[in-house]
Amino acid sequence: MPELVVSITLFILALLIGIEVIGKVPATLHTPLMSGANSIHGIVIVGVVIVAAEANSPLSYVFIFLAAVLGTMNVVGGYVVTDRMLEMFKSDKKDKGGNK
Amino acid sequence: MTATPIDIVAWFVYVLASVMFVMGLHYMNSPKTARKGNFISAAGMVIAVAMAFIKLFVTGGYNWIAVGLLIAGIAVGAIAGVVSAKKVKMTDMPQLVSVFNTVGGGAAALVALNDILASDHTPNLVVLITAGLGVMIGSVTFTGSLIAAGKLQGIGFVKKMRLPGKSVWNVLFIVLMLASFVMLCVFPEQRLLWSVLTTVFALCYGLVFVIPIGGADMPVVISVLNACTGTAVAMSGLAIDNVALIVAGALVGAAGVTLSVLMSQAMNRPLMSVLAGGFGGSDAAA
Repeated sequence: MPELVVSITLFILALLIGIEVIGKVPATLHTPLMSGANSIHGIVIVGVVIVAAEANSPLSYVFIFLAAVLGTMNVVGGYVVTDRMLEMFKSDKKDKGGNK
Repeated sequence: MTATPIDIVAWFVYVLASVMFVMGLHYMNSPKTARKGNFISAAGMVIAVAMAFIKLFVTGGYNWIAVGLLIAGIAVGAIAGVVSAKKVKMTDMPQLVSVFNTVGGGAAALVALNDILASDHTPNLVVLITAGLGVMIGSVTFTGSLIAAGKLQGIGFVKKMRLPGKSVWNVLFIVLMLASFVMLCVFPEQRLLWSVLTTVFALCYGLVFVIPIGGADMPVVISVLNACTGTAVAMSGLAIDNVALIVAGALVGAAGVTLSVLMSQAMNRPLMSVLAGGFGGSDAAA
């Protein structure tokens, strides 16, 4: 039981950090930030790897393969697309003469 | 459970990755440092996944079919992810984010479902509750984000979809979904039946939740669903007792909700009225 207690504590503290860390983000960064947060939940592939260590039935083979495809697509695509969005941002700023 | 040295190393590596995710999000608050933030967050992800693989190979006792499928799946997913992210037009990016959210929710639901179904012995109540919640939330995001992406893309039949008596359907599927979830926890011996029903009803709820919402409100909806996926991942993390999934999932969950509130404020509308839908009309889509 203590393991679960620790896990729930971590969950609650991480929620608070999540609220705090997005405090004063300008409206222009909303979409990239959403995309960036979206790639972070691709951490689920770590879960897929852990589950794969114990898999030994055809059903879980199917689950693992599908989850690996979906999770990796989430994380890899997510970071690439966020980077592309932010790259666009940078050139936007340059066009404005880089003031500020 | 006694912790072996590799468990302790893995724990701290996952904590390090979580710290990098928080730093990444923090840096993304300002345009100047945003790209660096994304890079730090991606590096954290690489570290976490590498650690999971190292632990897998050091611990041993795995099945080559499972690991082969795992690696093949990661390869396919990585190629699909990079190709779609590189090819997409700048204006179509929000849809793609929604698609990525769809697949992320699906992956979280699958991990949780696997945890309920795969083991030979009946899972304990904690696993049933957390994994059940993971299945439920992940499935809702799966169909919800898919519809959201379709609406933004302006796919004809998705845009035209109407749902007469939407609140009735919403309530119906929420009740059915929660009822199956409760049955899953009460009768774990019939877990195949109840987990499949929970999944099906949650998938239906995802549809009826997003269909009535206008296309112009989709970014907010995607952000809410993004938060849902984060929560689903955290629930899967609680089910398999992994610190990286719990912390990163909770982080995205809370950040996603906060971001949704900020986004709807920027549109001068309360979040609840956006989610209630039926305003703005789907023809207002870009």
